[in-house]
Amino acid sequence: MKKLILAAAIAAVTANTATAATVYDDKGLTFKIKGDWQVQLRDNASDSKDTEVEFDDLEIKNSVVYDLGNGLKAFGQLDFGFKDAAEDKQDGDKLEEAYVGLAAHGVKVSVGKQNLAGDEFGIEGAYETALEEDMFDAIATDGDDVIKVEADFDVATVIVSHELEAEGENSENGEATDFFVTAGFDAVTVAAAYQTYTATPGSADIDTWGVSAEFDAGFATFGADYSESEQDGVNVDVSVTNLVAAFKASKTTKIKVGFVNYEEDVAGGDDLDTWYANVTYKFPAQKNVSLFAEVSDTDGEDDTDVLAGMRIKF
Amino acid sequence: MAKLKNILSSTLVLVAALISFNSYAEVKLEVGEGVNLLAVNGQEVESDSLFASKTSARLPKGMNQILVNYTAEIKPGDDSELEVTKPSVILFKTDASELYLSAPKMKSVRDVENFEKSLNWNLRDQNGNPISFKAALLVKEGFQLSRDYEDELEEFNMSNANAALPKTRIISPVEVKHARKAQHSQVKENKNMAMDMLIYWYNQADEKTRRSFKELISK
Repeated sequence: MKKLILAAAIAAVTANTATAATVYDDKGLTFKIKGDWQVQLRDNASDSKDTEVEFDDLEIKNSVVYDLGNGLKAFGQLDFGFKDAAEDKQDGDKLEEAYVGLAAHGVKVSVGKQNLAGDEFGIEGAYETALEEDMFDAIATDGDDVIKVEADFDVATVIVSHELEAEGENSENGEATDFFVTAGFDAVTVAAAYQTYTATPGSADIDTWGVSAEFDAGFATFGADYSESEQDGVNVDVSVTNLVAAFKASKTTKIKVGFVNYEEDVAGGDDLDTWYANVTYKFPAQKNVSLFAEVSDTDGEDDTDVLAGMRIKF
Repeated sequence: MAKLKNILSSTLVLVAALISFNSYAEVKLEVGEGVNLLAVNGQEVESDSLFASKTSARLPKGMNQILVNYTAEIKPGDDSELEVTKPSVILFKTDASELYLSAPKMKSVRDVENFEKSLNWNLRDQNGNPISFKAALLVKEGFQLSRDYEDELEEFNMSNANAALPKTRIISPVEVKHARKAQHSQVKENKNMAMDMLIYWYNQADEKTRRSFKELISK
């Protein structure tokens, strides 16, 4: 029954252009439902696998903000993902985010299950790639016991997060401290991130750092990032490099081309390249709805990876 | 006689308000990327087709009121989210032939919140000259799942909000006398134009407005 009510609410929300996902807004309470549904037909690069209907994001987020007065706001978000359920990998939904927090004068403090600061890093623009997006994605991008502080200044944003070790608890899944900073100067945006991660108590720390830059040239946006991880006591650096260019073919159509390199800096280690090109068409009457197609190719794969799909975002 | 005076008063008020509309001359309004045109002069706008959004409108010269919002693509983490600003009512007066409305870049939720406070839309004419305007949020309290912008704008215009349409004031008989003396020749010259414009705007108005107008002139 609850699902029916939710489905009806979503249908009503998505049918309305202007109000998008705001369900209720009165007396300092704002309740929004956000969604990201991406379904695609994909013929991946493996010769042994057939074409299938694949689900990427299938998320519903419930976001509540209470205005407490004097510039202070309380907020909370519950994010349910159905991707694995849709692909028969699990029953029911997966709780992807669950946090609450306080915000005042551009500073937010939140506690709960959420993304780490390092998740903010990266400029990669592919829908799907065989390689890691960046080294933060390869190591850890979320946690169950995260305390996060975000400070938004005029030209810069600083985010610091700490995932508690929580030893002996069910949520024990590594300890991480992340730092992310980004700043924008006219057409240029630069960012840097650092993470120190320990998988289990007693295991060696993995240190990851990265830098990125994006330049908006008007007719196109160009971006590059480099991130690298190093495990204490192991003399192997692993890095990911991204290059991407995004062009507007028209007001509704965007084309992205990109290159990803994954390299293990050790004799015999992997050194793999991926290139990709994708096109996204957003319906002008409803920018929340887009159609996309992508082709990508990775060293060592059997074939080219081809996909086309639709995304509804609200 | 009193009735005639009232009709004359109403006519003068309307003429005074509408004279700057310069008859049927039109202004082409275009909106920039991410800007959604929701209503023009109290009427909701609808997209013409599936593949063409309503990114432009034809407006009469003079005073106009539009309702717009902005869809910002913000990037929390390695994903992106769409944040839609609350609708803004923008009231402006122009005799330019072309206008372009855009919004500043918004990259974060904070940018969106700040924009909703400042409403610093960018309205320029064909030569890039800024056009002065008044702006206010069109706020609906409670459930937001369905909004009737035409109704909300009607209510908004009855309020004293910053971007509400200016109130028409019934002129007293003494004021009418003075106005008639001073503008006698001009009224004579514009008599036909005033009549044309009254008919034009009567035809443009919805049933409710027509009824209000009829009530006004029958008092």
